[in-house]
Amino acid sequence: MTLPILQNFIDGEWCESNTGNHFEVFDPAKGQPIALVPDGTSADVDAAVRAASEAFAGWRETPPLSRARYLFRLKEAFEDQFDEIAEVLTTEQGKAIDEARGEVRRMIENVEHATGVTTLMCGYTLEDIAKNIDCYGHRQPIGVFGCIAPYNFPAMVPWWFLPYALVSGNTFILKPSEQVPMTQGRIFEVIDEIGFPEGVVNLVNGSRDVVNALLNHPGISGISFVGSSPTARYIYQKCGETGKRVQSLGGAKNIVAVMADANLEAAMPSLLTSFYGCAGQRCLSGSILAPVGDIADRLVAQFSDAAKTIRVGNGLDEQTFMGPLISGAHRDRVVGYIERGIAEGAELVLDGRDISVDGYEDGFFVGPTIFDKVSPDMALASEEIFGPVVSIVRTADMDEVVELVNSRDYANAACIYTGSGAAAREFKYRVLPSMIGVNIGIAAPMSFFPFGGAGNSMFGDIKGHGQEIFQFFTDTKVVIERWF
Amino acid sequence: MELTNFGAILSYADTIEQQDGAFYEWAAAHGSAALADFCTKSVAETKKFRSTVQRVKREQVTEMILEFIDDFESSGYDFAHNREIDHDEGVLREHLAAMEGRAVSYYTDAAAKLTGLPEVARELKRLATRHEKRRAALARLAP
Repeated sequence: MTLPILQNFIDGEWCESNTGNHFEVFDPAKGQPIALVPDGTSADVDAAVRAASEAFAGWRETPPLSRARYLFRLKEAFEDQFDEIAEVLTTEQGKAIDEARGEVRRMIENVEHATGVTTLMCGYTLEDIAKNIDCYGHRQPIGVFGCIAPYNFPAMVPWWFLPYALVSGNTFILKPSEQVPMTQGRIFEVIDEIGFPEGVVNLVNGSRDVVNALLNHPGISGISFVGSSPTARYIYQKCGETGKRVQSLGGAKNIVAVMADANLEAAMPSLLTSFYGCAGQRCLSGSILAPVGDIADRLVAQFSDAAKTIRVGNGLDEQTFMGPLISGAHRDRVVGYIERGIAEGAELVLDGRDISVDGYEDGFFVGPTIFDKVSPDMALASEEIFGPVVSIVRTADMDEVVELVNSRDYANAACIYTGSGAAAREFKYRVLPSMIGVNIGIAAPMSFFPFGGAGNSMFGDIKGHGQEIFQFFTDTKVVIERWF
Repeated sequence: MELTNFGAILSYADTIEQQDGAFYEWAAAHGSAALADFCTKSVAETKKFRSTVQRVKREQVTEMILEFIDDFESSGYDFAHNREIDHDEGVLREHLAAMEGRAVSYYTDAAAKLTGLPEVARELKRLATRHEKRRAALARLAP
């Protein structure tokens, strides 16, 4: 069977990459290739930067409300194409169809939030800063921005940045993950229908060469990245060298603390979703479950009973709770962590290694897995696994669980389940991660709040979406004015 | 089919409206003038119901599953649309009323299963009410 070859979208046109090399894109539920994506080149990036640079002058002069109108039209078009986008997403990424629909919803919410540009991009003024002198700050767009996106949220993550960059008057180049390029390909078909001015928004497929070309290109003013922490750090450093603005979001090792007074029955669905939603491939996924005090045995029993009921399958099946992992290589990596956990002496309560899904024997599945009695120094408790593997680290009290959170290499998110307001306050006050859930298992800020962690989970200062994102995509030009 | 999550519940609601709309179209061509008029209006109304279901499915979904749904299966609400009863309008009317009753039951029960999503539960209850009104209107059509 001949696989379709994906194209780039540059200067308002669909075009072939300059490369002769391609990657296979897989349906992870079937373990079969479904498309080819070009391993793009620096020449592809150069063409996109040229188009985006030429489009910038006209686009920045377009009134903000007119720019917002493109987004209003985009929102309507996304609503019309909602189910199709979600199905493409699940087909190439694997997540359950409801999760894909939820992701598309989150993507659209960013478009909706960005349409508030006429309020959110406003500058500020102050009269009489000295005798007859006034001062005001304009927010001006900067130029061409790039985005390097991950595989776990192929629809949503680029849209934490793209609509804000565009509505602020910048132009944009997106490089989707080469593992899941079809979703943005479908989304860019919608963008094509909307008819943005040529060059305002561009799509370049590829991997390492495209990333480095974006980082090194002098025509690019800033980069938004989401992915692993080592890559996030590299991108942050490269942007420092090349003088670019950067927001670089990395990995996580999120801890979910369960206090002795937690309502386990009420908590269980969101606990399961925290650890097993998207097969654990979220930067907000729970990874360590930390019972505090004498609730541990009861929590382990109830949580493992609930985990056994999780239905694993093709995400396109409406009954599926958990789909496959992204690739065979990643499945092997996750299985490797399970084997390492056994070797390090953790107690395997539920083993997802040998799962078989009827009709999808070649899919990249790992079933729900639970380790109990994990110690903080084990790999299970210190490295990002990014799979459906729960490490239970039993802790004695608040001090111990806070120490556990703050001693990880990451500081993305942390959650607490408790009936005590005092315990919740102490936890959220003392822990380092900057996305906190209280009786919530996935502490995901919506589009109107900033998304991003601290420590090695985030390099840069301005996070994704929220109100602050307009600072990232604009320069505040201050004018001090006096008339004689 | 087990209806274990938000998407499955709303998809089945969409199926109900699609099936019932098609049956009203058929019934419009097989009843008296009064019944035909009622059925034609119901076809248009059903399109709106379906549009509501699809909008709720798009707008109220989250990527986080907030609650699990047990003991809810579509088999309890399956309805055999009988297209061989056009010779007896009374039977056809009763059949339509039963069809509306299925929708009322489904939306009422689905709303009770989705209490964690109050906006969704409200819309489903509203749809149950609309179908109940239609069932009452059918009863008023009886000679």
